Amino acid sequence: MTLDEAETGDVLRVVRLSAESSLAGRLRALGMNEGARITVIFVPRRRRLVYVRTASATAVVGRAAARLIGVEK
Amino acid sequence: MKIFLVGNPNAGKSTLFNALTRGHAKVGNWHGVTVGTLEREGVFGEGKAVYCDLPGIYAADARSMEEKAAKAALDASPASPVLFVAECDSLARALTLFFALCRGRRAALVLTKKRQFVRRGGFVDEGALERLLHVPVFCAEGKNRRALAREAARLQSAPPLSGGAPAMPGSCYIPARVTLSRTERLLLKGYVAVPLFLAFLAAAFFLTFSPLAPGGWMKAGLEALFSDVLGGLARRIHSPVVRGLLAEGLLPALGTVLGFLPQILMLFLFLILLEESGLLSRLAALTDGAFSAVGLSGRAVFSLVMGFGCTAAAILTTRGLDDRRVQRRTVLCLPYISCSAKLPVYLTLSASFFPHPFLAALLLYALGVGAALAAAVLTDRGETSLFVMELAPLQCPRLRFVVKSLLFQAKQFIIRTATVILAFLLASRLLASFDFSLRLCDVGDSMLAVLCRGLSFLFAPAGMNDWRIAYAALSGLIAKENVAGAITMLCGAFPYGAASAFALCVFVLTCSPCVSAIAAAAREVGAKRALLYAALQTGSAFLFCYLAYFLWMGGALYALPALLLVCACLLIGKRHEGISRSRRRHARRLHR
Repeated sequence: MTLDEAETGDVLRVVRLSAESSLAGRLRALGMNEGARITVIFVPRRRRLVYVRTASATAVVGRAAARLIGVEK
Repeated sequence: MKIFLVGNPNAGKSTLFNALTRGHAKVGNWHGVTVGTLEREGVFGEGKAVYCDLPGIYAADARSMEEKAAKAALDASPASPVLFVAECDSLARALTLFFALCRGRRAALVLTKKRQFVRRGGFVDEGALERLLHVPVFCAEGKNRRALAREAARLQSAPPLSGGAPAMPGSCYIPARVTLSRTERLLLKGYVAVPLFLAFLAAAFFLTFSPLAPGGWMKAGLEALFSDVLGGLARRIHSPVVRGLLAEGLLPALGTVLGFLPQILMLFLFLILLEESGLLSRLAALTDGAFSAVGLSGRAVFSLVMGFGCTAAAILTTRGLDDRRVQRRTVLCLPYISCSAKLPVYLTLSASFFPHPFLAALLLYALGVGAALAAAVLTDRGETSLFVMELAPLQCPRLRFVVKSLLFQAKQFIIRTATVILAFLLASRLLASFDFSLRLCDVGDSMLAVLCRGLSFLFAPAGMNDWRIAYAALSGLIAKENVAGAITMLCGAFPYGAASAFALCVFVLTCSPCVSAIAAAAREVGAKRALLYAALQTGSAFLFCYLAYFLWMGGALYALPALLLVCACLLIGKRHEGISRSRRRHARRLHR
């Protein structure tokens, strides 16, 4: 599944990043590297954003970017 | 020796820079405050060194324009040592960047925000880290300038950095508890954060513009100081030339401009509180959906909010945007956001058409925001940029920081008034007091009147067939505060009615920004594009001014000719854009 399908409270593991290199670098820098554990802290009703907590940051990811992050529970 | 300050955004690099150099680099609770490199001499051990504050970098593979600028500055000086600034909370990710950027250089690791890290159960031992990494490691918190300089001087004996980021054992580092407070969770929800922000905005406007608020009383006091006290003293001067120059020209005009200082500071106070509290990054996330629909990005909210302070500074912050197209669109929209320099113009003129200046200012600010969004919609080509952003922590703004920032803004305003605006008002007064034979004369026979009479037609369709108004309005291209000062100096009170006052406000609102902002835009989007934007904005400002006048005077029917002209220009522009876009698509297809 991809991050845009996650629900509030899900604890997920990042399995792949399908983004281009600079965006992937930004995601890794925020703690969303392959194999990392992330917690979905809030998904608004319209699902345009996903708020996640990684080991080193609290970040917000837009829906289009969240579709590029492959995750598993 | 040049020393770079490098690290993730919002790590504390600029705070450290200010501490070492007594500088005034902008700091704030936002990822991406520093957008350009800043160099200044500061203390280094017992001597001096040049410190270079760089924008924050997330990854060696730089994404945004400011990250690329920071990377380029580092690559240009491969031998310069580095002070790598890292928050204790995100030390693990910072170390990866530390080794990626600083390999081969002398480097030291500076830890920040340790107190709150420890409060949340974290642990870090600088000595153990130093032995693990083989570089100097020190905490910046709680150290004065001399102590920081002594720590920084350990760079001289540091070996060049080698190897990769090691895993940190529990004896060196234990991460803090990762929890969001109840307030932080509440503020993620739009139905809580948006009303809170609107209430904050309403409070900001009321306390800034209402005559009942502190800003209003202080304004009245300052104006009285200039016109009654200083003006009274000036009226005792024997020389009629000097007396006229001061008592009837400069002092009332300066009083008009400086009188707004308390209200401008009130506006800046709210901007600083918004930025420092961490609310701004939440606002950026919440508005991303709406802004993407008009071709902008949630991250542009920082630039747009800064635009309420100063357009030039706001344009520079667009460097933090990842997408060049969004940056160009934001730069185009920013002049419509009413900066603090337009405040004196609005409040001077609004007394003519609104009994309550608070409501008049609110209307004009709302019109500006609407115009900015309309400009974004009209230039939107349907492209979207991907939104990824780190949320700044919520914190109570520090009193010392708020007071220091306000004093800095006051100093900047007074310096600008005492230099650019005073020079302009002095030159205007002299030109308006003498004819070409250098004899004292009325304003109507002066050099200024002869030179500017040809401009009378510019505002004739708005009921102001008057070269003085045209001169005052166009002087806003140098500094917007000049408009209010020039009107006061040349006309005294605004001599026309409510419709003309409103039309002039709309002109100032929609006109090209001042030369500082145009120069900032030239740096970001290129000189040709910046001048094109300025020309388009000035040209369209005249149309909007006439439209506003016609709407006020006779309603929509009376405004129909001007409205038709504006719509025709917009349609022609859109059609031209559509043709260019299809030609580009066709050329790309052929090329493939």
